[in-house]
Amino acid sequence: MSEIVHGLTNEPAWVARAVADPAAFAALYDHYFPRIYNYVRYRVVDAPTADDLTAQIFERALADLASYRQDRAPFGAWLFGIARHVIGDHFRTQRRRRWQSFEALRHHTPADPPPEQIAAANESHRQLLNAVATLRDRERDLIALKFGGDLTNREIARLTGLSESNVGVILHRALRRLRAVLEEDQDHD
Amino acid sequence: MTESKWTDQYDNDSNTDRALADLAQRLHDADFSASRPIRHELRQKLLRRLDERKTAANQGIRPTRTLSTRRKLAYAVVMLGLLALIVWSVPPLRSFAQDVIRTVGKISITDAPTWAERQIEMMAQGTPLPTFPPVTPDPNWPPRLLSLQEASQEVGFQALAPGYMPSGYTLFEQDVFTGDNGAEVSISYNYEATDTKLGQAEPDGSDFLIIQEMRWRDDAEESDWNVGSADVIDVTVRDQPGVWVEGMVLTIRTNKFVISVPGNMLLWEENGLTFVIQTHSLPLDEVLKVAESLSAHPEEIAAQYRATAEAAAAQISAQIGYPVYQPEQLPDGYGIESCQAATDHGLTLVRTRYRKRNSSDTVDVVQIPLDHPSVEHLWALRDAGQARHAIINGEPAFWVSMLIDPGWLELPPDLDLTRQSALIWQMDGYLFMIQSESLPLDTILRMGGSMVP
Repeated sequence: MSEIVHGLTNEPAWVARAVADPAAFAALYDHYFPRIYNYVRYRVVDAPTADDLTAQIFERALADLASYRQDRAPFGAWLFGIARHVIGDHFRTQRRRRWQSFEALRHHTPADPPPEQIAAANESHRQLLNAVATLRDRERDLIALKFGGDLTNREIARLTGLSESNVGVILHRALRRLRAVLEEDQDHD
Repeated sequence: MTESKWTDQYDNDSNTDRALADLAQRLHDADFSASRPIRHELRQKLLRRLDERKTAANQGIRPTRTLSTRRKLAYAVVMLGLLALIVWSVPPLRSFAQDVIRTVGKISITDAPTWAERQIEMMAQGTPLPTFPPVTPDPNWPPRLLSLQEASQEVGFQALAPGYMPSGYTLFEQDVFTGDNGAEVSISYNYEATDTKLGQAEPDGSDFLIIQEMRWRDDAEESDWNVGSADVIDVTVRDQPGVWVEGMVLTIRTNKFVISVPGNMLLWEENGLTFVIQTHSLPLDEVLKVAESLSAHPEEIAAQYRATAEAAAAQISAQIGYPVYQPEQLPDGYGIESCQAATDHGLTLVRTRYRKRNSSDTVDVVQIPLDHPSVEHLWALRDAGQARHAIINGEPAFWVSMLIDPGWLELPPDLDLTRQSALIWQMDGYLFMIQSESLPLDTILRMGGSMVP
């Protein structure tokens, strides 16, 4: 594995080898796992769900790796495309499975789970995740891609179909909103 | 923070922008993955799988996604008699008659009892029941949702998709399967209707509709499908002879539970393909409507239904004696799907449903006369302080985000009010509700502001 320096030099070569070479796949996995996991974590409310979805993303990537074509999209874009698809399916599944009782209506259960259900590694993470959870879906996706997935605005624009400048504007607004939420949180503490 | 990769983007020397740059850095630096054991466990699992694949490739074995494997795990596997033939190694309880009563392609429909009927029979006899297949989490969940073109390419024939689907049913699976030993290849569409449930015992068991299109290998053996005591009726489907099986006991396995419920099934053969539609509650006329709408270009069929729906809205207006309001501004890609009227407490309510093209996303507009008792309940929601307030054309409106139970509101259950968010306001002597699972408030507000009779 001495060919690996910071990041992945000559990523296309690693991808080509990864279809049949566990060492090459491991290199890709090690490189992308934190970015994919952090992206997922910003999108969903709890760590076990993030674990499950991250596993689905990499399992699907492994299953479809042979059909991946480098001339169509960089590997990272392809992988994040899978991630977005898996998360979209997850939310659709949640909608299908969600059912609340008559009692729940009368006592009004908010759509989002209470903060104490959101497990985080530490208080700072908890605050961040709680704040991110208040964003609209699209803002949350972009924040997750930008800061969890460490993607550039241009990469996000390609993935989402938005213009690069629009991505920048949405991210800026989302950050302002997050900051306001975090400040409010601090005031309450 | 003195310097960071976000400085250029968010720091313009003002305190505000510096705070944003700090926040950006904080978001970027938060690593939730480091402490998760899954990182190592998943790595090992994937590498093992890659090793197995490598070994299989060296041995000339090509791993396939077979029907038997997927079906054990995927949603709504209908175990039609198949298990009955395998599982029951216990002494026979009685001699079951097993006559082939119809044949559709390679499917022989027999009057042998279904899996559930045999189980009931065994319970009545006091015979110990065999172990029920465990419900395990589906590793392939969620299922694939291929496009019609992708599915057709994969299956090797032109697949057809429905241009009509009854209100409330949403597609969540469109996948391709290969039968055991390659006997058949099929495309399967799975629809779910969350507003119609399978039974009280399974609170999250939604109604289903499954469409299968199968091509059998010439030398494939015939497959017995037992329908037990169900009624078997000859029908004509798409100008072909078909069979309608009504009231058979289907056993459904989902990724969460196994349940036996009454069900109906329509089968026919067309252009060398076998078509099967299975449903829990839809009657023959609705299933026939779905069957007749199957097309390689379902959008064209759907457009015809939309035109019919618009005509229906006009007709309903004429019938009920007051105008049906519709939004002039619809969200991008949305078109009218249906318009229905229901009489309740002597008053007529109208629901118009709009659906996004090629999507399961819908938005409903419900128009309720102000005299209806449910109006009082809706005001109570607003007054209980659970609502966000808005203005539509100068009128106060409120936005609630919760589940709404039609029973509690004393509305007919088929109005499907179990949505999460609704914008509610009063105008021209009516109460209007716009409900959507996916559309944001600003889009709903634009719809509401453009309502015209």
